[in-house]
Amino acid sequence: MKLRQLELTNVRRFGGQKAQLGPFGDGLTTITAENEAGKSTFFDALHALFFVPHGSSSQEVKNLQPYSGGAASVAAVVEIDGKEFRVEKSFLVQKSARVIDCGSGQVIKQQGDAEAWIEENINKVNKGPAGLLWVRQGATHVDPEGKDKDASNVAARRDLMSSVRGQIDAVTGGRRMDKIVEQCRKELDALATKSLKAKAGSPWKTIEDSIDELLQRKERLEADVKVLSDALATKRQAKLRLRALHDPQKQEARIQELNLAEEAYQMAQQHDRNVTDADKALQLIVAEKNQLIRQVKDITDTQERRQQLVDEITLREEQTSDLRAVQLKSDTALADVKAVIAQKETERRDLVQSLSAARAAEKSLQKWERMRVLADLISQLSVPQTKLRDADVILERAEITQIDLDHLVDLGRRISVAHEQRHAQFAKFSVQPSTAGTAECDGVALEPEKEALIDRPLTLKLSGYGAVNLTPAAGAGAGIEDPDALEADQAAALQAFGVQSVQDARSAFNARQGATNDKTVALAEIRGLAPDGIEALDEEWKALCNELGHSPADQPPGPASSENVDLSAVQIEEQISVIDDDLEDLRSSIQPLQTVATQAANDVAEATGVLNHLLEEKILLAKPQGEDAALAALQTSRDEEIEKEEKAAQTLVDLKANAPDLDMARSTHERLLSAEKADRDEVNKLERELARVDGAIETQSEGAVEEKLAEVTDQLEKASERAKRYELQAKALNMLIAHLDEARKDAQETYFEPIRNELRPLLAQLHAGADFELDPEKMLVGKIIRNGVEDDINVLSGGAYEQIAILTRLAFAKLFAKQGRQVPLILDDALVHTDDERISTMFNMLSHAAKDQQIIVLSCRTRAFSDLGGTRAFIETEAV
Amino acid sequence: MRFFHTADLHLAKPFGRFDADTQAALRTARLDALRRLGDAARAGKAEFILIAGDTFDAEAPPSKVVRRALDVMGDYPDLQWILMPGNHDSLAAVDLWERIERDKPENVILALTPEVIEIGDHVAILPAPPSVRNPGVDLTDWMTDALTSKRFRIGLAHGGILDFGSEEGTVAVIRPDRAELSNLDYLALGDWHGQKSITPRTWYSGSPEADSFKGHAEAGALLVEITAPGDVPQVTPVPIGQFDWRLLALDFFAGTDPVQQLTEALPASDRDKTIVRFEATGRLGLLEQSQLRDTCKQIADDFHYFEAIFDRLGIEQAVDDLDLIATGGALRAAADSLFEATDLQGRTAEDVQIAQIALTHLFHISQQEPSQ
Repeated sequence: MKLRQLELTNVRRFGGQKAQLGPFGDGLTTITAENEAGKSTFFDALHALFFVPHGSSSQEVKNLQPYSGGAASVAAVVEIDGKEFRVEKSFLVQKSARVIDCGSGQVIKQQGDAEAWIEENINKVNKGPAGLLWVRQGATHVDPEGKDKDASNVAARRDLMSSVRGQIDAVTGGRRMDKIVEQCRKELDALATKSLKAKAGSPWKTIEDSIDELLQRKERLEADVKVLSDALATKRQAKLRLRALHDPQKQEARIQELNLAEEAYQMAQQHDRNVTDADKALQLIVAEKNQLIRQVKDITDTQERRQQLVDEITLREEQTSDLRAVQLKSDTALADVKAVIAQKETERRDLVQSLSAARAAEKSLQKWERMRVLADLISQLSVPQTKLRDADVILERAEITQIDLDHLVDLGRRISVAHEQRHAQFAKFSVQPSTAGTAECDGVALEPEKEALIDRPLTLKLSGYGAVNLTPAAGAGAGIEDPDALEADQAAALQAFGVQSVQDARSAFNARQGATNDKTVALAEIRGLAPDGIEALDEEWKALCNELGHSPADQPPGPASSENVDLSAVQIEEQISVIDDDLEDLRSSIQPLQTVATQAANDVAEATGVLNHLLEEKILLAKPQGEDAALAALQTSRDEEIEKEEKAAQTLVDLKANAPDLDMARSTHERLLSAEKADRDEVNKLERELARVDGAIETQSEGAVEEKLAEVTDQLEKASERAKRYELQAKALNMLIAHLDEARKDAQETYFEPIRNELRPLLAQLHAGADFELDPEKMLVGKIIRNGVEDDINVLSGGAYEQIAILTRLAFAKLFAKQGRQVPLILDDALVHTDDERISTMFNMLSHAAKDQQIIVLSCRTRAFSDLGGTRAFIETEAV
Repeated sequence: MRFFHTADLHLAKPFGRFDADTQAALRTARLDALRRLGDAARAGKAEFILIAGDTFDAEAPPSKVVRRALDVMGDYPDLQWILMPGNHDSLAAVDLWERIERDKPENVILALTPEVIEIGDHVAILPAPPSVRNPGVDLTDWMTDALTSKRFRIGLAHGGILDFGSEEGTVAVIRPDRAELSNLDYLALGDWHGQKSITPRTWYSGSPEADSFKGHAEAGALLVEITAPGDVPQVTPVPIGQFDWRLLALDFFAGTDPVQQLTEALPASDRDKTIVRFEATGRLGLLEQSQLRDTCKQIADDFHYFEAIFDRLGIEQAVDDLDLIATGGALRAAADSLFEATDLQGRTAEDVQIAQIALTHLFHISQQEPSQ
């Protein structure tokens, strides 16, 4: 089919007008017009003409009607198999459809027949909207309906591909395959998640949830059944036990046994009391007997004691007397020794006093002797002391050393030499005194006739004469010391040494030498006499003088006499030592004596005490009247009690020998009482236990827990089976889908081969080396691979996107053409993003394709598309 | 002397595998069986009814069920009902038997101890009530030495026979020659839910209302007539049950008409009182399987309960079946690969089962989407 011309009457913006668009050539036709010029109106109307029945009141048709209303008419001239037909439809008002043979001008089909003709010759032949390949701005679809019609577009493409391959079902399964896969996916999606787990809301999930719930219920019910079972077991045991406890035979036997035990126990208690009483009686008899024995014994003991006292007192008196004699003797010996000691101590005190006096006298004599020695030494010291003072006087003068002395002598020599050399070298003059006049030299009057040297320029004033200038000869005086200066030095040195002349200085030097020697000698003498120094000697002297009351200025008396001393201190000390030895011996002997005396005194005191005590006891134990009679009576009574005791003891032995075992009787009685009480307690406990388990049993019983558990167990089993079936079903669906997908993918590889072959060279012109993948769902390019980088078609730039969309349509158009089906390719503002370089390439490809393909290009880019070439078509309008 | 022998009513059994409607119907049917027993006993001029254990399904059934059962028995005052515990309602169910003891009508006699129960002046019942669920010893031993004068000696016991087994696989301890050994005129047994004669004097009455697909004979009770002590009893099965439990285990093979095979195996009447479990085994082609499944869906509602299990039904390889999916192209390729996966060689049974389901499903969908 080829489209030749479109004509609209009273359609949308062309209300009240007839608008024509055409003619469309065999190849490329371009229509460039500004936006809102009505391009889209033409092709919306064209779609309605081909695909909407003329009787339709759909929104698509209503959209064609202008605001002014009225019938909207659309007509197209198409060429089919070399013949042109005009297809007309009038919508909404005066609805009609017609097909006119342009060759004859005759209406060949009307109304329904016309619709059938369109379906048969345009739509069906071309398998639906594939009759037009339409690319609008931003769209990638075959027809102008956009994405919402994608399914039908896909079908159209698939139809094309199928027609190219010839065996659609043989290759891909076609729409049947799609439906089966879709149904499987829908079923799987409704049943399971992608990981083949039960999906929320699915019956499988419901079953799984119910399994969880049943498991929980089962667990609870099992616990309840366990409670019930335990309670029933407890109750049964309790009942059995109660039955045993309530056994009448056992109870009767228990009572009988208890009565016997109680009787035996009472008898044993009574017997025990009898034994106790017998024992107490025996104890009383024994006590009475013992009392009597003690009383008899007391009396006999007293009598015996009384006799013993007589002997003891006699003996004690003798002993006391002896002890007193010993005491007296020892006291006497002690007193004697003490007297001797007192005498010795007196003697010693006297000797000590004598010793002090003797020692004082000896010390005084020693001091006087020392004084005399000191006086002698002081006397001897006066000579060197005098020498020392004299030497010090000399040595206190200015010291003239040998060097000093040599220096003075040298100065005298040099002065003499200087004077002699001056006299020798300098001219001399003298004046002869005149009475009339005076002579002065440099203002000093000259002594007459005294030779004066002309040792410097001199002005000699001679009174009455004038002045005479005297000048020494040149070079005179050279090398001569100044005698005046030397003399001045000499004078100064002498003055420093305190002497008048060199001779004095020599004498002073010699004197000093002598004094030094004297001083050395004197000091040696002094040290010999007073090694500690004269001052120490003087101090000792003064101290002794003061001690002995002697005037220091006086000479000490002569040597003292020792005739007036009786004994020397040594002798006295010897005597004292003898006395001390005696005293020590005496004192050592006094302690034993003292001990003996003390012991004797104590012995006497003790013996006296004992004796007194015995005497007192004797008085106390004096024999009372009737003592013997009383003793006899007591002895009789005692013997009687002894007899009683023997009888009572025998009675007790007999009782004990026949006594029942009280502890055993008591234990038996207590045991039986305890057992009876334990039975009662157990009965009470069991009855309480029964009451408790009855409650539990009733609760669980009314809850029908066993039945519910059995029911839940059955339900769980059933549900598990069902869940397993769902799981298998999900796996089966998944497996089915996988097998279907795999089979279809394999088929598509073959299926897409024709379109690949067409598209590949087209794309190569635009993107050299680029490859692509076809989307099996959309049957369009899904991805493009450039330089190894794979891009989804949707993320490409607008330019690349629209270029590939157009090339894909071109490829499809080529396939159609190869089938002998001319399908118009309409590009409605389809190249708006493409840059200049690529738009030129696209123009070339479109021009090339247009050689055997009708292509209609609409664009608002008038200037850019002026280079596209081909036939130019225009919209022309006229009023109707 | 005539009496009725029954057992294993299992009142209050829950039947949890079934839907709520079926559960209720089955439970009600078991209570109704009690009344039908009374009616049958009257009709058969029986003096008393022996229930040889498991009257109740649990040790603590709901009190309402107990009350209802006792009320039914009380409605037949001319009959004596002798109840003995079974393994489900053994003497361990102290509370249950206390309650029954307390609430029972006068015509109900409880056989709770191994002691002779005298009925009138001519019958001695010798019960062996289980003390617990599995006593593990032959409780009927005491019957040998039991003195009963010249009365009919009727033993009453519950449990498995030594060389026969028990209903639930528990330890079977009762001697098969107990009746002869203990000089019993008749030994009424409970536990086995189907009617069984062990010896001419030893019978299991079976449950009066079926409760499983075990394939027991028709559920009912036994009318026993003994002319004189020592005579061989005349035992007559009396149908009591309402529901017919059918387990249809049908083995299919290619070339047969599975629908016809199934239809012939199903009962033609009383379907509303029939509980069916249909287990398909063998191998069938995809088309036949599809037809069989469709048939099951169509007839399921005819029955009170219908359950079909196809898990063990294999797929018979048939090119025609795969052609029905597609004669070529991707769809056929998918069908072929799935069919290959149904071969057990090198695969687990579950994987094969999954592949079979997948292929069957593909077939099913493909028939809804016929090729054009």
